[in-house]
Amino acid sequence: MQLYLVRHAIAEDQAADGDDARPLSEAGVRRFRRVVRGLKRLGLRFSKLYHSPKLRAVQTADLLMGLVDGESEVTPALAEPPGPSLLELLGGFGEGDRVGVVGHEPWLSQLAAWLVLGERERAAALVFKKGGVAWLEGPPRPGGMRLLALLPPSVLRAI
Amino acid sequence: MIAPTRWLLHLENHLPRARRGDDPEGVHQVRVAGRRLRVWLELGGYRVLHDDLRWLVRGAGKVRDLEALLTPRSGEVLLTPRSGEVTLPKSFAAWLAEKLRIAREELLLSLDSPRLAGLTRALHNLPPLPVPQARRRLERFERRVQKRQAAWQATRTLEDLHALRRALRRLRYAREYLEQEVEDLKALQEALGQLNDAVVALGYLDEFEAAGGRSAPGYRKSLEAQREAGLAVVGRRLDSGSRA
Repeated sequence: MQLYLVRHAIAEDQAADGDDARPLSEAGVRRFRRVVRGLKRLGLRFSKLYHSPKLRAVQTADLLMGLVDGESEVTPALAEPPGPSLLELLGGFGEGDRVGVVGHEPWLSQLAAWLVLGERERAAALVFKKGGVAWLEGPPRPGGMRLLALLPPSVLRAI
Repeated sequence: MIAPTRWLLHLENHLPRARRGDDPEGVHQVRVAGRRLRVWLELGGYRVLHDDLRWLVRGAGKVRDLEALLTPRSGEVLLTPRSGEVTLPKSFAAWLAEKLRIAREELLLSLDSPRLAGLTRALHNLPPLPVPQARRRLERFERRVQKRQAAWQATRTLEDLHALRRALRRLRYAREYLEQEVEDLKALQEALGQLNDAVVALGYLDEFEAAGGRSAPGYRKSLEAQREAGLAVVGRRLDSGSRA
């Protein structure tokens, strides 16, 4: 499968209702729209899009919905450190599937390190900017995927 | 501002009853809340979370349809001019009960799933909608009803009527969020709902008979009569423009 890990766009620093309810900032929405345009120019389509229930991830996923051919699905597994339940979720896809995942740091880096290097602890090797995308390929098991690209938002906006 | 809180709490309050399964109202209200929350999302222009709510509503709907078939509301009996009161044939009822058991098992898995926990958590995080934004979106609901109504008037098929029924229900819910008048829509929705009950029952009866179940001509006739009567009522209401 092709797996695209997307870190949520730039969000407000705080919200009255706590961290879960932090929305994207105006600049975050504006910039991420350009990221989406870049992804569109690359011809990216998702057959499935997973996202965390935190507001900033929900809003980021909403901006990506124009690239989704299949369904979107919210999962609390993306609002916590990556574990077996997340791998189980990703395990049900075929070779031709293109799955997007919208989540948070440091968990997305940990997930990428786990899938590519086999160890979550090596996440520091990856720099995942807000609105950035990591493109992985292969079976979603520890050490089973290859990192094809780690795209910062500035590059995607420039496409 | 329009918050989804009321229907989100309605959903959460009815989840325990839906899980227990001792009161059909539990699953019914979960379905109603899910549908109303989808309309709220549409009023807000959201494209995410619709699939999650659709998944929940579908699972609840399957159980609800079967429960409604097996336990008609009090005072509701099937009547035909020739045969009088017709009860659910025993073999068909037993077949439906087994389908209900399986549907309930599937629904329970959904109700206890991380996906539902994530869905309610995400909905709690969404900010309320500004009224002017929701008002602008209401026009989409109106246009969809007009489109569906035109399609049904052109074809007169049950499929197009079903699509119109759904569009009317969404328009009603959208107007209710905006505290607008819905009495005309409620009356029409009630008539369409009764018609749909007969259509759903006939669908299950077809499936039962195709699977080798003993045919029940009296019961079928009563359902067909209910469907035809419902179609006549709905057709009159729609043709006379009572909705608008």
